[in-house]
Amino acid sequence: MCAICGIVSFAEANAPSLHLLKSMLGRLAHRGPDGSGYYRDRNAALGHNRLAIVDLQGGAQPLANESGDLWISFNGEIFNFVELTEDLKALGHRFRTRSDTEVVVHAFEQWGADCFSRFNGQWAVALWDSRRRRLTLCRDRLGIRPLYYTRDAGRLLFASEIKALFADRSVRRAFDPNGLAQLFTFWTPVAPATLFEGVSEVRPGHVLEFDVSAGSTSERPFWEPSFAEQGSQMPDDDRRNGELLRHELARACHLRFTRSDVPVGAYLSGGLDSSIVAALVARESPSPLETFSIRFAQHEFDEGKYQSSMSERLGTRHHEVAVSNADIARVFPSVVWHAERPLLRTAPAPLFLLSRLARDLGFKVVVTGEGADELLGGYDLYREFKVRLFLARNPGSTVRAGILQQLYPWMERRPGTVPAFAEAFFRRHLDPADTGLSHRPRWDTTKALIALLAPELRERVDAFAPDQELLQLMPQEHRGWDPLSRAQWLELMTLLPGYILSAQGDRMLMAHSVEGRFPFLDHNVAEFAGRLPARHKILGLEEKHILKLACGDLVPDAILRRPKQPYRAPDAAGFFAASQPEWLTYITDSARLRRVGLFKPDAVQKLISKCRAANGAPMSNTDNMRLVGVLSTLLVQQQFIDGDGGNGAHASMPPMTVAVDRA
Amino acid sequence: MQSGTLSMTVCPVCIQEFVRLRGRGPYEQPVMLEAALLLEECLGVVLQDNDISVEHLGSPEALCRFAAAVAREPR
Repeated sequence: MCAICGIVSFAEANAPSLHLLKSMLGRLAHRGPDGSGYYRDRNAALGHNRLAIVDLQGGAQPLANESGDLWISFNGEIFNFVELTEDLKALGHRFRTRSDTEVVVHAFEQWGADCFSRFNGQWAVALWDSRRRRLTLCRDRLGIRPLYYTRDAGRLLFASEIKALFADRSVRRAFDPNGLAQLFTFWTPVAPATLFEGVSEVRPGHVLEFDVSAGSTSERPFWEPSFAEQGSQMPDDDRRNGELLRHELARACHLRFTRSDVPVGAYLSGGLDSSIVAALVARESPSPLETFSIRFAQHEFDEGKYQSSMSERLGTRHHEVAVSNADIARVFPSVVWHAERPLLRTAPAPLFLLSRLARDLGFKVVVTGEGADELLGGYDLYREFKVRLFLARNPGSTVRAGILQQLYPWMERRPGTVPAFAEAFFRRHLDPADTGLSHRPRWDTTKALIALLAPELRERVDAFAPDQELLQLMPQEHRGWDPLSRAQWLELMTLLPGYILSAQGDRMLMAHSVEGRFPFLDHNVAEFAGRLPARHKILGLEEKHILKLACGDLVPDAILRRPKQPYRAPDAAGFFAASQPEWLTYITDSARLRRVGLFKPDAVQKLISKCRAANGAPMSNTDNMRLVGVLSTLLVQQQFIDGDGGNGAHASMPPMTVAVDRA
Repeated sequence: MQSGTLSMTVCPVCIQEFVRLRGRGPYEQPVMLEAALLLEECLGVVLQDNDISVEHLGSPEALCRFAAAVAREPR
């Protein structure tokens, strides 16, 4: 895992600035501490910070083909690089390294942009063809690795993180009202939109080409999430499908555990998905697997007993980081700086601390269970959707609402404890023809943040209808999909890439130079899941039914049978249970709130007073979300709009290992 | 009727799995409602309130009988 960045000048008279490129690399030092490098000619400059994982001696970047006219800056892993190397050697390509990066170069030479559909991996890549003066940018299928860009009349800048683009003082730093509207609906902007005006994100599974000679830009997908039409799904044999799923998953784990020249550890959350991944990779490990977990003092959030039982079962060397409210409050500004976006939960903060633990213990790579909930029907939201469809099928029923007791069993204020409120809430927007039906409650709840915006900004945000725009992007084939598939598509377009894999994934891992690998997000597993009958994913209200069938023998019964509990961390309590941190006092100062003009100062103060009065006692999910959302938005404003994006904690610059200047 | 030997003609696997997961009952209202949800999805029907009863959904045997009846005479 690494950082990439670059500059393309549309006019040869203005060769890219090496000084700017190095500034960009400086802001990405945390992603790649093992070496730094650059390539520059009269049109383009590519930069790279390396986290050395494969071919530790030979994989320095940027790297070129044999003739030196195709250059690459690559972030990620191509897990099937061994097989592809053999294919490419048979086609006459000569290799100078053992790295997966060189495979990308030769594959691109051989197959052009079609090469990406041959890769099994996670990547963000820039390829510069100096002869044809063409830049190609590409991200992996599901958006595991990040890549952003901004352009004006004369130049294009790209980088793994937005803060590197802001190293150029001429790049405007302002909130994009469309990005805000999306974030305060979906929890995340949806690529290509970002939170910042003029900054775009390369869409997952897409290739972008900038042709300097022709002055043209093109974009095309090489992969998109797909689901089988009802009636053409896999046979209704859950045992057999379970065997096939396990085969795919074991293969994905094998590739992600063995294709590394450094040790690979595993996160253990205490849930089913990470436990299964740990069990499968432990079988590959010649020595005891090293596992890493988060512990909380609060019983409501702590999953220690499940983590311990899994660790004991596998005989792992287990490591824990105990996270307190004060810890979350202390690191929250750094978490936001790395995430580069408002957060609606503090859950990324403990993951920030967990990656630090892994790194301190010498680990650069961990496998985790991300993706299972999205692909195999694990989220409460999907169960909620099925319940709402059940209510919608017979709106006059007087007994159906009793099923709401089955939802959110882990919540203190679960629907079963407030039945009248729950029924009114979940019966809203029950139009079965609405392709967004599954997500309306979440989107409506999240939009509560918009009511806190200052009137002028709210007017600009209200001009956008992000939910309508997103639903229009749903492929025409969705008419043949089952309802669960439509809900899954929405998750794959929004929360997975923008929040789970980014704010809570890549950014928290790479804050301490740790690469995450996600077997459930192997595209073979994802495509297999897309062909399964919906009933195999959620049987009645039993989530991830087929995964439990397929891999239940790998985990203790206590983990297999426990009700689904999403990973959560203390929210508002994290800021108010102990003494208030200085940063919070500063960013919520009334005069400052008025000057910044993002939120209604009175509304923010009222919210804070309410949280303070709670004195650490549990608050409603909505109030927690509003508070964390407001504070993190104010931090983003402070760090990236008032500040220049460079005011976070900097790692020291890695040693320069490649320096090629042809300008 | 044992849960492992259900003689259903419609979607026996789903009902067997449901019984395996939720036990042999007797089922209380939330579980009967979940069973109703499952039957509606499997059979493509909409049940009426008076269908959601112990007589129809309160045990694995009742569930099997009722599912078979609904499959014969969709409502």
